[in-house]
Amino acid sequence: MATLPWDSIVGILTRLPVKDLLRYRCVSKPWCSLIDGPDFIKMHLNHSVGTSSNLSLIRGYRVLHSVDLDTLDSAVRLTPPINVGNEIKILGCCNGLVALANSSGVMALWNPSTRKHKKVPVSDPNYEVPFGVFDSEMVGFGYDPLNDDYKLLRVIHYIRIDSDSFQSEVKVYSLKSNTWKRVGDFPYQGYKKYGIGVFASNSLHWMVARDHQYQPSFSIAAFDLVTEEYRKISLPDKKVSWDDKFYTKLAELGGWLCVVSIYVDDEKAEASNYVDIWVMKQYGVKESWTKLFSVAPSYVTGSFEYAMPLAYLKSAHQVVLDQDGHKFLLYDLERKRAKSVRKITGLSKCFDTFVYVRSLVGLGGGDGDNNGKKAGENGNKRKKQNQRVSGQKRLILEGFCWATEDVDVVFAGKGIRLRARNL
Amino acid sequence: MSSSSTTTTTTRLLMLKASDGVTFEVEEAVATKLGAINNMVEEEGSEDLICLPNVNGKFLGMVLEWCKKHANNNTNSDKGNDEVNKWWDKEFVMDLDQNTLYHLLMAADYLSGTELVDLLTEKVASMIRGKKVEEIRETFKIKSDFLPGQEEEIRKKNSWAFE
Repeated sequence: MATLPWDSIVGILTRLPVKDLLRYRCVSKPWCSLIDGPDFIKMHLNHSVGTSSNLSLIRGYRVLHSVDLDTLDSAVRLTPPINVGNEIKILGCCNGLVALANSSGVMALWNPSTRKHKKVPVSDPNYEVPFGVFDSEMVGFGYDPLNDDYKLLRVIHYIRIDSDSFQSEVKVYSLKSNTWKRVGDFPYQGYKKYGIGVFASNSLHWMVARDHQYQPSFSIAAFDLVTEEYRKISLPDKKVSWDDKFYTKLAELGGWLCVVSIYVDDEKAEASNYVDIWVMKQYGVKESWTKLFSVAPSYVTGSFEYAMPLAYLKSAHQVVLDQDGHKFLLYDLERKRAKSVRKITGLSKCFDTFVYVRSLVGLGGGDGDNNGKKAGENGNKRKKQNQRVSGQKRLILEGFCWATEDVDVVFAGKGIRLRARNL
Repeated sequence: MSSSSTTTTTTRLLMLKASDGVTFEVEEAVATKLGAINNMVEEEGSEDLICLPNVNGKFLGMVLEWCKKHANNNTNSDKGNDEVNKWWDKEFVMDLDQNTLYHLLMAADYLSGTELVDLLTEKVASMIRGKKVEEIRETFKIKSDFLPGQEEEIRKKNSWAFE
């Protein structure tokens, strides 16, 4: 019987699911150190990303569920590593790590596939802003390949009531150093902005809008996690007629930054909503915006409110979309049509669906929660603000997750809470 | 190999000699699907006989069979090609026993047939998913080199993965 050379064994193991690999650490010492090694962890991750395999959906507010994207058949209930409290919120997913926050402001980075986590130390907002009233918050989570570090970004926007001007406090948490540091203020002041950043091409992205005489002007604000600098990215040039009503959301698809335009026609029946999906094929190059496909209601999809792309399955030439927060639509890119719609039992309607790759990516030495300080109790005065952006064209500004809701923001002393509230 | 197409360029034939002396006459376009042979052809130019002392005839024959199929399919620039190749690949690896599979993988690796290595690696991976540690040791002929208690320690760290 032949025995395989080591390189072949390594190749075979990069194709295995995480759970198998955690078990096969027991096979021998060389297998154990291979599977634990950073090179193998990267190879395994790159293979999964390159072949769009080992992908899962994760979603929920009070209960988190995951669904294997290969089979899209059943939901598995996950046990988050932090107290759910009133609600748990996913702040982003990157390379298999999920950033979470609960309603008391406790944050953690978590790898649901290895069940390891690390609590993020609490970072109090800066109280130096005089006469500052909390305006909104932006968050984002991603990877800095230059420093091989995972970073969590938090932007708190204030309005100065004394001068009616805006101010921001931007902090970046680095997993490697396990500390928060303040970076340059958010430069696009006077814009409406909030939500969860979309990670693509080493940067986090948010939609920002400025009202110009009832004519909102939109663009994409980006924060580069490597250089820690901001930049603006243009939206695709598309023909918009005066009575087009649509809202725009950002996503990431197959590594590309993606813009989703959801056209709404409330004069006709709801059945006429449709979506256009654009991708920026060359990052930062405006001319490279390409309309990848559109989804209009068909006998396969029925009518829908919205559809958001979740994952690009390269070998199958398919895109998985979240349809109205409770169904999954498979779109065939070759035949340019919706292939099927799946509904998964046990999953309730949810506006925040994320995709993560099941990886071995670790969280540094301590897998426990020794680094997390206890979140503070509700401190100072609470200031509530309801935010809503609207304009002549009824464009609704979206970060990522709030599709048809108002956003209720609570400033609670030591932690910022975001709550999505149905109208 | 009968190439009945109306191509005007004459296809060059290469002679491949396996470790056990078995020789195969193959079109250059087929053999150069293997990176190692492609390199030899480019470097050595006019040499028509290529000796492959690390692969025996049985497995070289199988590797070349795979190359022929893929070279033929790829000449038709049909969209359905991908699917034809996929279907054929599936058939190719379906009934291979472990020993053949391993030898074939080593041969493909030696000949730098990247796509074939991928296919065979994936096949082995599919055979060892969801197995017990003991079954893996058996499959790969591995003896545990842990000290007493060490293995138990590792198991404990991720006991849920053994459920």
